Amino acid sequence: MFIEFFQALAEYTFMQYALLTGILAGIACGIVGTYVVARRITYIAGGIAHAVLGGMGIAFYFSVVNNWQALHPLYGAVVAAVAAAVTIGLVSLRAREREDTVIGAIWAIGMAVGILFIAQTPGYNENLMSYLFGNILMVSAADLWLIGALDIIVVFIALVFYNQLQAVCFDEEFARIRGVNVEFFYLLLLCLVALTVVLLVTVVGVVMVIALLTLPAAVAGLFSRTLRGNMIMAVIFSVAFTTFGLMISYTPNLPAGATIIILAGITYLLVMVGKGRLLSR
Amino acid sequence: MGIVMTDDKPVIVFENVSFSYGGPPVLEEVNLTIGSREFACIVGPNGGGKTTLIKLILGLIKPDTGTVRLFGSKPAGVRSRVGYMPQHVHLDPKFPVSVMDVVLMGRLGNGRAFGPYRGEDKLAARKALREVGLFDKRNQPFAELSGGQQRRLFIARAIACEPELLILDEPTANLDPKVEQELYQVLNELNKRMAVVLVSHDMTFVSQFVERVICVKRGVHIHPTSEIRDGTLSEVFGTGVKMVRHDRHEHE
Repeated sequence: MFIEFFQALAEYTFMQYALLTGILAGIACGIVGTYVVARRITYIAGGIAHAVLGGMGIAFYFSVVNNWQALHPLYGAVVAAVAAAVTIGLVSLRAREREDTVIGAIWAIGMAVGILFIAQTPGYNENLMSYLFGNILMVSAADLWLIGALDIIVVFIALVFYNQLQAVCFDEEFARIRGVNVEFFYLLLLCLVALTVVLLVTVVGVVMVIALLTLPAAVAGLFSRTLRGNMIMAVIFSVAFTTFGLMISYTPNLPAGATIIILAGITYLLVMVGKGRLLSR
Repeated sequence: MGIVMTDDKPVIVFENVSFSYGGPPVLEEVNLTIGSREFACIVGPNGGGKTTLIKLILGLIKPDTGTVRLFGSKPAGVRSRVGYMPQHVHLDPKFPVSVMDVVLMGRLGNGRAFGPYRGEDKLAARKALREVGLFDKRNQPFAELSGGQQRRLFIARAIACEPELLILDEPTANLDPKVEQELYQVLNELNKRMAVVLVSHDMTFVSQFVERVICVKRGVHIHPTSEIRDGTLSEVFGTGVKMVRHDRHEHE
């Protein structure tokens, strides 16, 4: 069944890049996704993900209009994601009662800005679709270097500050008394979420990022009851979803991003039903 | 009243402390001294200033007037010598974390900016778990503990930093009386080597253990537990408060 996939993998660099992108994004996704699910900040991650479209649209527009080849849309994505993360973070730290409104606004305004700039960019382009729904098969060598660098930054920070992040996620008030800079680590966590979202946008696009960020961690959470164990399993599931999603989608020529998400969703449902059955017996 | 109960240096001293959050005063002209082996209980109505008093002790807020001294110094600099158990109503009961990991959080901030816990941290955490009787549960998930076990875990986390003062905010809220009693026995044992200050809304059990009751309602009124009679607290709380019956020599 997967013979064609492996033939393509041996033959074409774009398939190798796609596979590697899925694996790299999956590692960051498992680790940061576990923090997101444990701290219950899925909605914040959603806001950041959609703000990314604004950054990508602006970068894409100026790279075409001014012919700035160096201005890769992913740079725009990084800037927009981090800006959205810091804004939401500061609002939630300083004025909790307005948090959801601000997230909703950033969510929609990010999308609107992206759509405007992409619409105004001269020439026919199908970029909007690939930003929205991902196009892992279009990843270039340059993209891959950027993805690799982001991946290393995210994984390094998430693991070096593991104890602090865990304490801040579990009990902010206690962590503050112990001298942990709670505000700093909360913002740092949101910035990690932002960078991870950018990584995942290349795989599944803006719209489906939330599913890929949370489903592997949610599946892992059904098996493991510690944060560490949860992360290890979430990384395994993330990498498995992107890899198998890519394999399944290749021969029937399905959109890879959507296939990955459906695979993750079905796995989550099956595991939940399976666990429920075992418990009720 | 401000009685110093012990000969050695007091851990907490308030001198003419007043505080407001910008509006009417929450605390007014508070004078308070707590000794290094004291077991004191802070009681008072909701919004009476109990939590504000604790925040002042920990140096999280600064008094408008007057001075607060913790171990004879400004609170913010010596806060790490205090073991603290916050109210845990805001915690996620399903958070994926092991018992040992929770206790280790009590070791954060001892001059460490990042990186893994050291051997001495793990030793201190194990010792704290033994003291509250949870050592056998150390590898279990937090979510599987009972209510009483969770409180004991939070006490273990608070004492993992080997504090000289232990502050607990409503440690027995929503516990059944038997579990509550067990918890106070743990605290009584700890009181042999550190001062214990706790906030409570319910004094039925506390009064067997504590030496003084600090009533907070804008001002602070201090009563040795032997003095407490029906009526003393109603002056502070106003009406509609669960009354304290304190029969000192009649333990059940």
